[in-house]
Amino acid sequence: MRVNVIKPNFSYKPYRWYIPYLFIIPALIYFLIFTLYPIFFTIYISFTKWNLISNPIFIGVENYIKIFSDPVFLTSLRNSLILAFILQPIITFTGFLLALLLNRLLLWFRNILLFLFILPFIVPMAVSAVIWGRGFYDPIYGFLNALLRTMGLEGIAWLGDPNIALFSISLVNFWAWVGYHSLIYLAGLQSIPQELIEAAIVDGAGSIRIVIEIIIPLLKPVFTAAIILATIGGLQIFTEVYMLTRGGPGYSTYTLGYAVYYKAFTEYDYGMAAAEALVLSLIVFILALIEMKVLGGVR
Amino acid sequence: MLGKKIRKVALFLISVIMIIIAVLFAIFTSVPFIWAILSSFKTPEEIVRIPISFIPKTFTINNYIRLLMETNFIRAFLISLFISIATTIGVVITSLITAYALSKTEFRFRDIFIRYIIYLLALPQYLMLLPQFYIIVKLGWINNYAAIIIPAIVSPYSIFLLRQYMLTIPDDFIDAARVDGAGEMYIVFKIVFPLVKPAIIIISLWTFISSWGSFLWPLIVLNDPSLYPLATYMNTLQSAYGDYRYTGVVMAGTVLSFLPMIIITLVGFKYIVRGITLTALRR
Amino acid sequence: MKSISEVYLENVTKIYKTRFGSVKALDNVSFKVNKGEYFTVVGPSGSGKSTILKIIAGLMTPDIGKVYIDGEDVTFKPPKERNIGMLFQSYALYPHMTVYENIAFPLKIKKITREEIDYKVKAVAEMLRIDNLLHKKPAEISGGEAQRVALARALIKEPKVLLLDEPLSNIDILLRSQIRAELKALQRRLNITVIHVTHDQVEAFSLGDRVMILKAGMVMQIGAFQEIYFRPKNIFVATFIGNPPMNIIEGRISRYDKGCYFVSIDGIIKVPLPCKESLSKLEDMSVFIGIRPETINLAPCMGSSNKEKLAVQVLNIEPLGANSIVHLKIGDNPIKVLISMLQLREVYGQKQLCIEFDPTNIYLFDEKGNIISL
Repeated sequence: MRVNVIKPNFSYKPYRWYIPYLFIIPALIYFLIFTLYPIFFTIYISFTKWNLISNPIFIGVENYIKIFSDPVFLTSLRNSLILAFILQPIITFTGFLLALLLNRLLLWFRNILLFLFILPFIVPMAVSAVIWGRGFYDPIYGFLNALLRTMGLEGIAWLGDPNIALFSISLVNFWAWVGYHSLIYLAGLQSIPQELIEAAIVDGAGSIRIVIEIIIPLLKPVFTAAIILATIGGLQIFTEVYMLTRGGPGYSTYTLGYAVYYKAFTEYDYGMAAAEALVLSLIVFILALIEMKVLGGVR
Repeated sequence: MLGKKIRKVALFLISVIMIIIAVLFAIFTSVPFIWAILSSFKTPEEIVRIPISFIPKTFTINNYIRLLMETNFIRAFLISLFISIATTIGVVITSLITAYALSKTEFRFRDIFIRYIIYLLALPQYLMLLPQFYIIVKLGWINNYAAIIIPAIVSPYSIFLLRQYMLTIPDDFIDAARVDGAGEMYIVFKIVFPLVKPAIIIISLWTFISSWGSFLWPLIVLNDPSLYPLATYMNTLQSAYGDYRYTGVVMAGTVLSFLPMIIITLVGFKYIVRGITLTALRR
Repeated sequence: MKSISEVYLENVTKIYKTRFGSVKALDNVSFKVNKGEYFTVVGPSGSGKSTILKIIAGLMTPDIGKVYIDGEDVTFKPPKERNIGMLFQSYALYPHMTVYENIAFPLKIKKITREEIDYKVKAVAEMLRIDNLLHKKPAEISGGEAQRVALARALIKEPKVLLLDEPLSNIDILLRSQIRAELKALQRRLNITVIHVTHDQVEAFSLGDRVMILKAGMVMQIGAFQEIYFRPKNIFVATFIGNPPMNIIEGRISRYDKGCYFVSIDGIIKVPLPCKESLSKLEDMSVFIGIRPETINLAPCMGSSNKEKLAVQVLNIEPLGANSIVHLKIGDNPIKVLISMLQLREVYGQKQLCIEFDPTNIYLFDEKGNIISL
């Protein structure tokens, strides 16, 4: 590694100076136009009233006041928080438990199971949602209700009952992501040196103690990363909602993501949509920060 | 003596239970797909039969015929294929040159750039969604596939992953090529590229899969439903055949949609696994 | 009062199934370690040494055979119940715990009171001179210190047997002899039974009261240094110990002139041997003789002595300081001789050199490499 004692302008490079800049042009254009500019623009239009055709009208914080008194928005906020802070930890924890199981299995068996575990992650959510909607959640012909009926129980209105609909959406999300998390934790488990576990066995630790006192602390960075990723994803859940319930019944499955979409592309109120998007992003940002502090162990 | 026996039996039982749980979960994740496959071969009469049947008693491929003949499915499929392939090729190329510049060359803004990419990865999509849409409108790209492909051609995740891989290539290779007179472009494609093939495969698979499944963006950017790629088209299909009797057709559509993904997962299993584990472990 | 234990392995065999068929990691291994003994196991990599340790520790069970500690059959008992301490090659310290917590870990499991744990940890730490590191994490201490922490953890539960898996491999060469001495002293002081596994024969013989030589999962020989050095059972053992290794020459047994001789393949080396019963069976079969480099002398070919002399051709001289290795050839046979600086000076410049040796220093091996007693 060369140590630059002279300022970079003077150090010799084996290629012409403009080459690196040339190489990053596509990425640079993309970042400037499609990420940096949009961020500021979103912030800007969140303070305006705008329908995309005429010019944006500056209205200050009116949007923000409106959304916090808007019951629809508040419902979507509540729903998204549930999906992010109750559902995602369940998903990641289940993934961790499954990883512990998978770790003990023979390689070929483990791979078969893993393959099945991650299928829901690979298949487009839109496609899976249709299958869930028709095959499982249909009140009359759906598999779940048929199962209940054979047990002598009544069918449940999975997507029709406002108290259950959010749970049904959660189930689909759970089904899609647990496999992904179990794979991440499996990789983490395998990064723990075998001798460490052997030492613990020789020291007399039983399996449970090994998991709690050795494995979990060592996997803290993995936990943190997984939970943060899951939380961010959870706050933005959209496709399942769109395909299965369109936010209904009533507003019981409205999520922040769906709310932004609806405000912008059905009601054409881009200003308010931007404000909602900004609130969403702020929550993501703050919570990611909190989670990093609390769980620790992140670069 | 007895204690030892009991312990042995208990340990054995626990292993059995563990296997059962794992298998049960595998069943849980695969049941929807199995159901879709089975239902796609059921006649409309059988689908609405109560009590429901799992395995089709009468086997029919009518649903597929209807799907392929009467709907735009094939078109949506081909559209998705086109978009996904184009996007993947684009991502590989841009990621290669960008990652190379960020790992094997030095320039003033390099570290800022890298930092920016990392932060970008954590930003929620919604923050940038509306202005992105506005830009597409202004560019006149509504109902144009450029709107889908071009923004997707740069993938911060792929750039980051590829850069990590490239950092493990000893500089000597590249310096030797420079001494031999090779231009940087040549180095990227003829020297570095073969050395990072595993990462390229991971990126390609990842990009293809994510492009295949993209739903929201095409929904926003395409007004004409006949232009929809597969995932977004699912919605059209689902409403077109709202009557439950025609669920078989819809299921045929889902089966043909996820079948390529299953095949890709089978073939590229090792790489997909690597791609997923690298995502989270990098932090 | 700690009790010291004896360890006994009986007919232990361990088989691994691989894609290419089954491999015997250990093949019918039996040995006994006496109470309070420092027992070393030495062999090349892949010889099964670590497997033996794992079986004694209880991390693996043998496919055939039994393990006894103090006469009790522990073959299928989990490590927890065997009360052994193990020092792993990588030390295996828990990275997220402090040194104190690492050492205390085995006691924590036994549910001893916190005061007692504290007392014991501090006592062990003091004994191993790591008491100033107790609050640090494994990443913050040096290799040598880490090893002592791992040792402390192994010793804190006052085990009957201490197992050491290549403890010196990761230690700086310069520190090795010092740590070797410390290990031996520690064992003496604690009067504990130690089984120490290594690939370094110097280490094995300098530390071990008795040494077991292992090759490809089979026991080659067990014994104290003298026995192995002077009475090797086969060529492997004979050439394994000693630097430079014993010279081995292939040839046949011949009788003529009313005597028995070993004749090398090219016919040039002829060594008289006592005519014994065991020799007559070997006529016309391949045999090997062995002679240690330090038992051969370089001398001018003139002059008389009652030793055997053979004319040699000097190839190369390798000075090692006080001694030198002389590489030479007799006919087609390469031979190495170890001589001192004084001897070297005596024969330097001589035109025609010979080697001389005492025929009673010759070892005879059959075609399978096993020793034949003379």
